[in-house]
Amino acid sequence: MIFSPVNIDADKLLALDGKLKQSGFLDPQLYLLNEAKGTLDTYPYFPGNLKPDFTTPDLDNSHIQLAQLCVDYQIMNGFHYLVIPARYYTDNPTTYFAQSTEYFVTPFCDYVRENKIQKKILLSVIVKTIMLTDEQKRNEVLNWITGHQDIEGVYLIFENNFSSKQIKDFDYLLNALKFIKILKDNQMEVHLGYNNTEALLFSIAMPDSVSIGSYENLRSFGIKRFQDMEKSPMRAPNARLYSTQLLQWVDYEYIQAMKVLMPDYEHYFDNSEFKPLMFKPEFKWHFAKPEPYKHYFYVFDKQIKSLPNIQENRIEELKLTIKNALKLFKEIETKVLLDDDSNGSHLPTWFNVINAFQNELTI
Amino acid sequence: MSFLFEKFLKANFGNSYLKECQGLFGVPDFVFCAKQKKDVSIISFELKLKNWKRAAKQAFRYKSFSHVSYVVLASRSANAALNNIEIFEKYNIGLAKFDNNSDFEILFKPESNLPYSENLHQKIVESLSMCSEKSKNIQTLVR
Repeated sequence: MIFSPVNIDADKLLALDGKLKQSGFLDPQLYLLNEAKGTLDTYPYFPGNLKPDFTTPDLDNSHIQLAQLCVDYQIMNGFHYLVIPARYYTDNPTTYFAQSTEYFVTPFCDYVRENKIQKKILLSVIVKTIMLTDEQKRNEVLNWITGHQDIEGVYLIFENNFSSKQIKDFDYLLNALKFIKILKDNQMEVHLGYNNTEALLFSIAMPDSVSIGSYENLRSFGIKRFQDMEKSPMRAPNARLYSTQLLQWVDYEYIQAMKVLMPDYEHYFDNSEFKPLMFKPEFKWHFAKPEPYKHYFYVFDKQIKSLPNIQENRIEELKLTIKNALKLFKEIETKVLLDDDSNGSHLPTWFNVINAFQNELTI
Repeated sequence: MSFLFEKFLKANFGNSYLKECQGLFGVPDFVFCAKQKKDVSIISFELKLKNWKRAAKQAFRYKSFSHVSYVVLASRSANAALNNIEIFEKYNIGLAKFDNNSDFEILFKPESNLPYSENLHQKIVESLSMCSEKSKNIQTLVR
């Protein structure tokens, strides 16, 4: 379980059952130094609590204190891992990695070592698209990650600037898989944050964990979630339901059309304790209703856990699931004309990405 | 195209319509309402200069709240859609072409079907409270 400071008050998190925290970690969310989004400012290491209007130059004097407060808070909670935060920039400055080492990695690792703290350390890394597509940038970030002796692994966040609900970019997805593989080849633990259904695809590179998020902004990383956007107009997403057979979140309005046009429409959707309620005519579908998300947690967790442990078998099984999903979409599209965010149009790309990655493995 | 089509719609079918209606499933360029006694018919139009495939997907969405949904293409790009008329037939989506002289030609006339979503249909009916029985020529749009 990954705990999110913008969503839970620091004291509440401290009071939470220790068992829930033992196998998880904190995402420190210091992406933006001076944005007190949600309950972030209740955390002792929030920079605004050290100095009002904290800015980058203030890190020169405060980075050691900030690191200590952040480690102490994570230790108090008893998380399984200690996580080193990452800063977010729209465009990383040329000194980004040197700065991150100086302000975050070194003071964190020094403090952990000096206090003989026996916990694994994860380094948060926001992977920008350019770091996947540009070989030089990719090597730079990989060299930086693997160059730290005290770090056992990474909390890897792929930034998602795509406008479609599912990622359909062949190069992006293949490079993401290669990125994970290189880290694993370097004996690092890899924990993937902010995943949508791509978690299934990424799983074939054998990361140690993939995250499952509820709302859309927890299933892809965008900095807006950490900015105070109260005055900006927000567009509510349409309610959707995930199907493990289709490997797709399907807009609820299409499910209504399926209900009218396809007598066996319910078979395309998984059973769960939430399904009977959601399929009752009086159920008021809305993106903020909890049932579709609880349903997703339940069925997607089962789907992820059922993946074979052996990479080769996992790849073959995912390919079979994709083939089956494409067959089911063909059936549905004899009656219902789905749009590009509900029609499984990401699946041919997934299939090709898997084949290309398989080739990489055999080289 | 939108301005001319609106003029055409008003002149030929009456003024019981909404333009770019939000909060439904997609944003139709025009939603027309016709009333006969207690029966209300909703007809949606998606106007496009080109890209019939995208227009067809949008028009299908409007079937959630409409009895009839049309793709209206600029005449010069209608041939590509006409070559794929079976898509429109399969999903019962109307296809028409419209040009700068306000010539409107129906290429596929769909049947009237009940909207897929009762909630959205109700919502649009409430929005179209000015829906009148004075709407005319509606039968020309429906098989």
